[in-house]
Amino acid sequence: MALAEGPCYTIINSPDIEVPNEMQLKQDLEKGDTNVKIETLKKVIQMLLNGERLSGLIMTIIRFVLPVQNHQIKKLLLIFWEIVPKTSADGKLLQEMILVCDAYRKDLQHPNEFLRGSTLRFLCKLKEPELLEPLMPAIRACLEHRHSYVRRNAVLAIFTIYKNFDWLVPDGPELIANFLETQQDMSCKRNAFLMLLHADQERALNYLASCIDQVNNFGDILQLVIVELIYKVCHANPTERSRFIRCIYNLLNSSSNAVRYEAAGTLITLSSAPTAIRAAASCYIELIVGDSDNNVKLIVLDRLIAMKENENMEKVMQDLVMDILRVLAAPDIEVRRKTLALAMDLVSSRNIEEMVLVLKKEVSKTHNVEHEDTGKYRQLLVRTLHSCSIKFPDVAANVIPVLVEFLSDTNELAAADVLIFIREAIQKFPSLRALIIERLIEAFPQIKSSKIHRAAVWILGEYVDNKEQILEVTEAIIQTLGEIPMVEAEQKRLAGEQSDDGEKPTGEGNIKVAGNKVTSDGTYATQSAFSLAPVAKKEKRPPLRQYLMDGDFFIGAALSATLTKLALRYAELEDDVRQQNRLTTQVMLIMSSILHLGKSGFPTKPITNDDIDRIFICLRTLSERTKEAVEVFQHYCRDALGKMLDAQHEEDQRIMKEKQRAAAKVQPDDPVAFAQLSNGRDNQLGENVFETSLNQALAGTKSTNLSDITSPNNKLNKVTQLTGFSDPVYAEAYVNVNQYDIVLDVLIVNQTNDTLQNCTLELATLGDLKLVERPHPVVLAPHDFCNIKANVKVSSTENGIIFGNIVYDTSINTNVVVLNTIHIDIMDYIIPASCTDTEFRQMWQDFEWENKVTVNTTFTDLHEYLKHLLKSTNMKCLTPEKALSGQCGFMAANMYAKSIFGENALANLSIEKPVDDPDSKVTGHIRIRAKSQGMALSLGDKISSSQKQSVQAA
Amino acid sequence: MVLIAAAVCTKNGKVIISRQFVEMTKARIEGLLAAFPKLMTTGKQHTYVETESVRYVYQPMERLYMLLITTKASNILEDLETLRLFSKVIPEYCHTLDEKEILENAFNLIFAFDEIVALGYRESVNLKQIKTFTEMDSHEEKVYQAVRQTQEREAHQKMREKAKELQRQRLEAAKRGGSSSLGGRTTHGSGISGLDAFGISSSSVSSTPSIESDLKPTVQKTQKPAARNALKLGGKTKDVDSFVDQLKSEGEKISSLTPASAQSSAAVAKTKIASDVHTESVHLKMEDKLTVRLGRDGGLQQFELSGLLTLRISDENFGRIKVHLRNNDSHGIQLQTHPNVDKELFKTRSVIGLKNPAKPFPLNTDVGVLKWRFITQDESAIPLTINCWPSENGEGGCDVNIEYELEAQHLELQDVSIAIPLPMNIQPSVAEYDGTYNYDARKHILQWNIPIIDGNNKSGSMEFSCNSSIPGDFFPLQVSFVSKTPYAALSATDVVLVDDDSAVKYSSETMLFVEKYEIV
Repeated sequence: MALAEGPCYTIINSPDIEVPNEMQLKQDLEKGDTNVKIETLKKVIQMLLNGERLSGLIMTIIRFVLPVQNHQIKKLLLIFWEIVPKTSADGKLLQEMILVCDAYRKDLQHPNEFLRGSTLRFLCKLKEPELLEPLMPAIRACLEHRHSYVRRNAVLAIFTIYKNFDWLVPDGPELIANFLETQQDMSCKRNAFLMLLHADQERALNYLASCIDQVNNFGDILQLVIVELIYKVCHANPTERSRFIRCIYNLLNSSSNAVRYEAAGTLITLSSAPTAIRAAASCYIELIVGDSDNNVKLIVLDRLIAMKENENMEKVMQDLVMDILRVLAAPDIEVRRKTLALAMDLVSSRNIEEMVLVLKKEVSKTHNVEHEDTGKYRQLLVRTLHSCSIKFPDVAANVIPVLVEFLSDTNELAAADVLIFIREAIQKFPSLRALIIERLIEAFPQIKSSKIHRAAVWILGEYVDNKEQILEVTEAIIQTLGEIPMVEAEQKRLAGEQSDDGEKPTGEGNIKVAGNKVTSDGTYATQSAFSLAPVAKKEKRPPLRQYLMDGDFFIGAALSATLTKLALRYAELEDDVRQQNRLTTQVMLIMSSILHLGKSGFPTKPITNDDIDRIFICLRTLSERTKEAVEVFQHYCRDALGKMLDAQHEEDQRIMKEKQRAAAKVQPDDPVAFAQLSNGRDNQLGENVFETSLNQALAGTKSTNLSDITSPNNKLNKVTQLTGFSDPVYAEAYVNVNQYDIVLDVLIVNQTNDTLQNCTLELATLGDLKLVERPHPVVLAPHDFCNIKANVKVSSTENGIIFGNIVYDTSINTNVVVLNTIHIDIMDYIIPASCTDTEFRQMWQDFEWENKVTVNTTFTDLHEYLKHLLKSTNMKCLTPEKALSGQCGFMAANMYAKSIFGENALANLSIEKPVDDPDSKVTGHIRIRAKSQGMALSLGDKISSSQKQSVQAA
Repeated sequence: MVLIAAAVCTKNGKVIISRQFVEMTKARIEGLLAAFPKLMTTGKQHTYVETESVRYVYQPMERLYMLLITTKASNILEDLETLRLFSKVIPEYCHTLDEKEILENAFNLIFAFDEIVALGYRESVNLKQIKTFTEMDSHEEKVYQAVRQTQEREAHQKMREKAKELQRQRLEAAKRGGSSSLGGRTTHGSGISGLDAFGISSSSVSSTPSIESDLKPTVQKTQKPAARNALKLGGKTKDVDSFVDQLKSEGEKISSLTPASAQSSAAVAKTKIASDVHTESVHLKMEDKLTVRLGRDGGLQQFELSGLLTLRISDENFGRIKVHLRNNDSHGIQLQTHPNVDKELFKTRSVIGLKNPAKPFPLNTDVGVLKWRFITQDESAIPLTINCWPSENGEGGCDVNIEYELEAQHLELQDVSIAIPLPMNIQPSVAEYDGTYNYDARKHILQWNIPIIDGNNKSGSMEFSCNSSIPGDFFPLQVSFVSKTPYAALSATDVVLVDDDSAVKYSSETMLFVEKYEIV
């Protein structure tokens, strides 16, 4: 137990060596020469680290190893003493340790300064005041040693001793303060200052005041501690702030970047004056620009982002947007992303123009550089420009020409974003429509990707609204589509190229259709010559035709819809019936030609039924002009877009509001903080970040709030009965799940009238669990009870099982009671989390393990089932509420959760239920995907078991 | 700013070694380390991962990762610095970077890690220093061992001599017959106590010669610790010093880093001056100490100069020497020699030599041989005059003009510092000044520093004003300085051997410092 709960300074993960027996070790330690002793000592240390208790060896080591003067042995011994249990089972110090204490004293007076130093360092870790007490004079003497190595470690030793057992050095701070006055060595000064900082701030301040003018000449490590002191003092004592601003400001210009970073952080806690904030922010920005390391850039950016959260600071930082944009020179995409997001949040109407200029310049820079991330960066820039112009409509006109150039980009990502932007802009700013359309028509022929064409075509179809432009667009489309009718054109082309086969082009199409159908039968080889030929000549075709030839008929369907819209609108605008009909027929010709091509067999893939249907609908609408259909084409599309944009906007607003509300919310029963009464802990930046972060790091996050959320996590519900009530030994365990370990608190009751000797709890685990240390045997008096704690280490999210037995000796014989198994619930590790749709899809593609669980339930309502599932799996539903609302007999939802170990778990729910039968049960399945098998399996198990329970309950 | 742990792990996340620098439980650290591989994503251009509670900073090294776990508030710049150092250390100890090699050198690495970080704070060390620290190759220990060996050897030598003598006496006694061996032992065993014990054994051995060879080594062994203890208690430092001095005279460079224990700034300055003086095996040191009190309206209230000439000889060949002095003094300084110094010789020829020319001066200690003292009321003796003239400016405050002038122009004063007391909590506004100044709000002092004052640069002034003060507030002024030129015009001209009057190479240093110099 001491091992698991006591401090641990060393981990050496050696492969399992065969464990030598204690006799052999003793022999080697006693008789071996120095090298043998070293090797044996290493072995002993590793065994101790692995949890063995070699209590018999201490005496041997004291007698035969301790007197050796070899340096290596001396050092190894220090580690040995660090980890060896120094107390007996009842918590008293071992007798032998007194002998060791004398050895420490000798080492503290050893002529070798390095030995002295490392012994002093070791003493920092010693937690036994009985051992330290006799050493105090020697430690003090070391403060005077002429080697700084000894002195600086002596200071640390005194520091920790004072911290833990202040009665041993009641005058510690004074001693060190005097020491500090006389020191020249930087490390000594730093350590001494460090001690004062923690033990006696008054003295530390006095010292600082006495040398405040020289601070700039101090070494970086000392400066860092000084900054820490100032931070601490000002936290405890906000009135002192004014004294240090000057000093901190000086340190902002320190030669060490680390100091500047720290000073900037402290400066903003000292003062909220705009100048201070500006200085700090500029310092951060300089650090980002100046340091080439991406880690630094990202973390310092995080600090800037944190600063931005504060309203006061945000205002000041708005002026610094242009400086922040300098960071964009860094090549890393992550850095750029963060920078742009930050700049976007800060930009105001005053400097938006400038920012757009810079962004434009950045955009043009990306044109000639080809790098793997350039595409992403371009996309990022486009998005930023997009949000800029949505936020500040004035610049939109300025931005659009730049962005439209991207449409012809080979990179789909950026182009797609441009179109999303244009779509929003065109809907929101009617004044810009003419400009956008003009540009779009210009760029249309240069577009290189079918997706982009598709979207561009849609926008054009939706927003072109005068006669000339309609004709212009149709013209552009026809041009990019090439000669109509297409099948004939293709045949001609084929004929032209293969003059020797030219006599039978008409038959070829038919053969090819047939041939395509046989491909799977293996007769494909005969066709290869024909199918290869067009592929080789790809570039010669107009782009739209090329897509069709490649079998992408979705674009054909989109094109048809657009053309239909254009024709319908033209019919409204143009009075001349002949003109109307001319366009309509032209359009219908294109559509039918697409259909023909789709079925002809020239393209690599034939048209799908879906696309055929859509084109037919368009044709029919044009020919019959049913009122409803026309309505759909003319108005509903645009309305749908408007609604979608509104919904997005609403969502954004809601998130913003929530953020604000979360910040401002004060419960009626919240305690009121009086500034005069508080000890200064909670001023604007909250508690001391250094201490909190350290505590957090050391203790980990307790899952207490988790137990509040879900009722089954109540403490009493987690008690597991391990043996029967009539067993001679009754045992039950409370399972406490921490972040990375499980603590089993086992209560053992002796129900017999005998004394149970050597009562041992033996545990074993299944799954990704590991027992940290074996519990010690106990002696139980008749009807006595005791609590035993056992630590189990967990390293991944997987259902684990702990099983075991209790062994005990009575006066007659040895008995065993087998324990019930303890199942570790995976739910303790799963926390709901959220991610974007793209991330979800990406992960869904990447993850290797899928577990498909069939829904088997008594639920008759789709929504009820989803709720139940979310509750029992702790997952979060990513599909928005709106998309789920209403009854249609189907439901599909995505769910996402993260484990505390950082593993992702994805789930997709697809369920259905006949609408007409209210009593029928929900059917369907759930797919779970995860990176590791364990996660996918355990989550699946969890779902099935929760289903089983609910079925049983019903 | 706290580093929690440093670890080396393989590419797939298995931890090989880890050293923690703050107190934490094993379960926690293992949990943190186990979480790392799962959090790490490849293909990013940065090498850190943050979780709710900690930050991991790592650096790939062939098939390994060097990993640091820090708090989230930790200073990333500092951490990266540390990380770089850590990853430089590893190839120092491991030739190939793989798991096996790391495990083999696990302990060496841990020792090295310990040198880099102390209690979670980075130490300012470089690779070379880490090497030195972990190798523990201590010069002092060698010195100590050498001294101990010599002493042991000497002790053995003596022991053998004693044993021989005992033998001889026993033989004589046997010849004479009757006299008991016990008496012989007590008379001659009065040397070192350790030898005493040996005396017994050797005397008893003579009757049982067969055991002798077996017994001897064990007895020697048991003696060793006793001898060491005796050394420790006795003049251990002295021995070390002598050894160090010997090494010095052989041209070995040994810096004596006696930590400055003096409190006053003058004393610190003194040691500063002292430390950069080259010393020969004959070293003369002249120290002048000055105590001066001047009235604020001029006038000398007290002037006292005391000086000491010390001689330090570190080579026994030069133990018997004479020092020729020249006394150019015109003030009438009273001189006084050490009682052991030949007074007549000094009076007549200004030569310092011992009364008994056959005896050498003591070795390796500072021997004071000549003292002088000078007390006067004569104002011309003042080396540096200070004229501090506060005048009320009519607004309740004072304008203060201060000027100094060097009177004793042969002196070169260094690190002159004039401390002007100020009224409580009043910041002076300094208008004009030579040198530098700083205002110490805590001590209510305006400190005016002039690095050097000499004949070429003999005067300076300062002007400042203070609100709500009266002229009396600015007194007493305290002045401190040091100088390498002595006030008393004494100097050594030559050092010669007593025997043949041949010149001896010597070094000398002179020092003038202020014990108290104030204007009241």
